Amino acid sequence: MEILQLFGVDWKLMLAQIFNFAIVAFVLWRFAIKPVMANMEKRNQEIEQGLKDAEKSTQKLAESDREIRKNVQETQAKAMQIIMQAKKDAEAEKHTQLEKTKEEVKHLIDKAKEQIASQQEEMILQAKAELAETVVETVRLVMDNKMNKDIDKKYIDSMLKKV
Amino acid sequence: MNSRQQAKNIAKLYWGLSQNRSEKEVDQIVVTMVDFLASRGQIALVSVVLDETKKLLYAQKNQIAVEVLSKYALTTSEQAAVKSLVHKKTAQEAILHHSEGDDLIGGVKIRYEDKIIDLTIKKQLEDLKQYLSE
Repeated sequence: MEILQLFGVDWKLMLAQIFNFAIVAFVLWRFAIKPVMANMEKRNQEIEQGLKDAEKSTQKLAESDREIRKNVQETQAKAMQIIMQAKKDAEAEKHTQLEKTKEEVKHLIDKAKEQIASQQEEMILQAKAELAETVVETVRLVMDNKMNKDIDKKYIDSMLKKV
Repeated sequence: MNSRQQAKNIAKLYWGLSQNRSEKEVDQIVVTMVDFLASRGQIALVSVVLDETKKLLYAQKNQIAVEVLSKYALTTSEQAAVKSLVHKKTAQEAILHHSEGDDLIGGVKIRYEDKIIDLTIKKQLEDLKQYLSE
């Protein structure tokens, strides 16, 4: 106490000032610093949440982009596969039709050849028959005119010897 | 039974009945046979029966009836040749029955039993025609 008095400090005043300071500090803490701190904390949380959301959105966007790219690639692959299969099928169908057409053409040619051969054979047979008829009729006429009893006798004798 | 077989049977019967009979009895048998056929409406069989009877007669004498068809009448040597040919094939004496066919042109056609030896020019020409047509 003496020391305080030596330095001119009034301890009562000092207590009052400490008390006043405590009140001011309390009031400041309670109605200024604490709400500001709370508000700042809330803002910080909001910013962090916003950053997190932004990051999530970025990730989602990237995932969507990847998904879309993947889908596009799959779709392209499928489309390519379908096109290739269609080409393959078309090629196979083309080949089948070509073979079928070749077979039909061959069949038609063979049939035409057969018809021609048949007609030729028929014509040859007809010509032979006509020739034979003409030859035989001519021979018959000649022999009929030239035949007499003597010739007939010679003919019969020769034929009987052959039997 | 066909008419040929029926005629054969009648001929055999007639032939059997006529054996060792007099000519008068044979004539009576023939008349009876003709009356029998006429009564059954089979008078057309008479000629067939006679043919079959001839065959039986020839067979008994080791003979065979031969029909010879030619344009001209056969000479004696031709007839002998035909008889010789038939004998060679049947070992029977041929009794020739000749008839003329103008459409033969020439040659001879010999028929006995169910055999035909066609040596006519007509047949030769038919063969030639067939050969040329093939």
